[in-house]
Amino acid sequence: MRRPALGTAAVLALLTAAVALPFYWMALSSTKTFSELFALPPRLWPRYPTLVAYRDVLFTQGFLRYLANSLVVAGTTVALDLAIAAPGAYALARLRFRGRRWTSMVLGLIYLVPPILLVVPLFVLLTRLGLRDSLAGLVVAYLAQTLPVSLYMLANYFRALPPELEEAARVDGCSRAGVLVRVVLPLSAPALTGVGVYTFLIAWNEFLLAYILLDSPERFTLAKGLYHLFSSYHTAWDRVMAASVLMTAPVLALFLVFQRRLVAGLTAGGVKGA
Amino acid sequence: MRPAGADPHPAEALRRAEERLAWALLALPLVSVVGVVAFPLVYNLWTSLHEVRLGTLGGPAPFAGLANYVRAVTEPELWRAVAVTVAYALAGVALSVGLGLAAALAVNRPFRGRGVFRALFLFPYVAPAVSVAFVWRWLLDPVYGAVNWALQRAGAVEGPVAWLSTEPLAFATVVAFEGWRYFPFAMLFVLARLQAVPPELYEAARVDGAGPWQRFRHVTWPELRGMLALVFAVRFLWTVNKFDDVFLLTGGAAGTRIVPLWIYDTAFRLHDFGTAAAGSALLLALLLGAGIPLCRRWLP
Repeated sequence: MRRPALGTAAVLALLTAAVALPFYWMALSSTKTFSELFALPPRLWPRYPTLVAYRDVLFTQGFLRYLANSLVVAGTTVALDLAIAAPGAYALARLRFRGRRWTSMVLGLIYLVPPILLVVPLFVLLTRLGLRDSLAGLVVAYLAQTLPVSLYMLANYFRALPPELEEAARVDGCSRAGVLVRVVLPLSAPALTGVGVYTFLIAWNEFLLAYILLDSPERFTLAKGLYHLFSSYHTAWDRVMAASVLMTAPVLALFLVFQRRLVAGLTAGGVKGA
Repeated sequence: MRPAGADPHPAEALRRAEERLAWALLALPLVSVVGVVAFPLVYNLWTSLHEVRLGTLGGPAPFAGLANYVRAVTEPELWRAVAVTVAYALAGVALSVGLGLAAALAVNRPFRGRGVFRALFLFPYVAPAVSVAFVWRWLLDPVYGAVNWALQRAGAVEGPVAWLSTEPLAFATVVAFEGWRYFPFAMLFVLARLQAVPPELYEAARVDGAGPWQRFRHVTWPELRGMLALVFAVRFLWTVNKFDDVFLLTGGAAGTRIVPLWIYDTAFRLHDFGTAAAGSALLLALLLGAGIPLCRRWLP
């Protein structure tokens, strides 16, 4: 292994500082005492580290509940997304039918619809269905937001699988659906993991719809809860940062565990096309 | 297997069966996606043609013809928002693609610890918008923020600076945030493309006596140009659409009111849902006008 050149080292150092500092500051501020938090010059290391802010946001400000809600919403979105997207992606990848190109195009164009356009109509629609201030309503909205990319990523992966395996199974009397369940899906564990993680991140992080659709604190997700905390206690930065850590740490951990699969899935199709 | 003679057109029957299966498999995803997106599109169009206020939201409302569109396009604030949006998207995307290119070139070749940098650089993109926007607000706090303290200490500024509530600093700050948060996206795609450049090209350039800059200029750059253009275009369209980042940082204050925030304010502060819907419809029309040719070019 060689050492990076001087220019490269400078780029790495600058970017590392710019990226790491906010995350470090988040964690640092969340463990400072209130008086240390506002001390100038700011301390780069807490003298009396404390978890008081965490205790407060978890047990008094309701973040234990928000954590659970976010887990339920993101987990359900992932499960439904994979169950629905895998068969659809298989059709896009392997079956011949009229309108295939058109279907891909429509799914791609959905990514150009401004989220702010969806807000009022979804507000009205979900109110009519009695799903507005509910976690189920959020799951429905998040599914629509994640399915196009899931279909795209999975279809790319399915296309790259050797078709001989599927043909062999068909010769042995397997139906198309059987091929999908017995041959394609077991081979696609890496892609399914990547898509699952991607979907989880989107649903966990989503702010706008949660902000507009949820009213009752007992149904807040972390995004809405954190915004609510910030607007109620502007200057309680230790609380706001502790809640930010609670929301950020799980996604970063998940990302670190699955980063290869996630990155491979996201970039697979893009490179081929350019 | 059925005997070949049982069906007059076995190939045709198989093709039909395949087609039916394809639509059966695609039914659920299409219904979920199209249902949740198509209904809002139609409803938004309907709203934009009616006089919808708080009292009439979700119910019948008087037909307004094109009045909402006229109100939207004669609203100077909308045009100001359009100018801010274009400037914000151009500057923010240029910054994020530039930083992403630098980052990708820096971590392209193997060295000890490369994996750590690659993973770390993706953090801003993976982390929730709410939490990273709030830590930026805290770092940039005029009175107790670490950034102001460090700048004053270094003598770069004389007194506290209100980064997020004075013009034109607030604009520069949201652009910086866009660059910071989305450079990993550009890095990922540039990196993937870099890995696909045949090493022989670099060998040949080296044999011809090309230095590092010439190798970049004549080998790397031509290979990357297409990818950079694609990333720029995609990120530009998404940035024009994006609501969260600016909303969470400034709420649209101090010259940062982008079009999605104008739409939000018109709907949820002025309760003029019709005009907001007209604004959304115009924004979508512009995006599709730019996006359809893109899709045609790059979809498989």
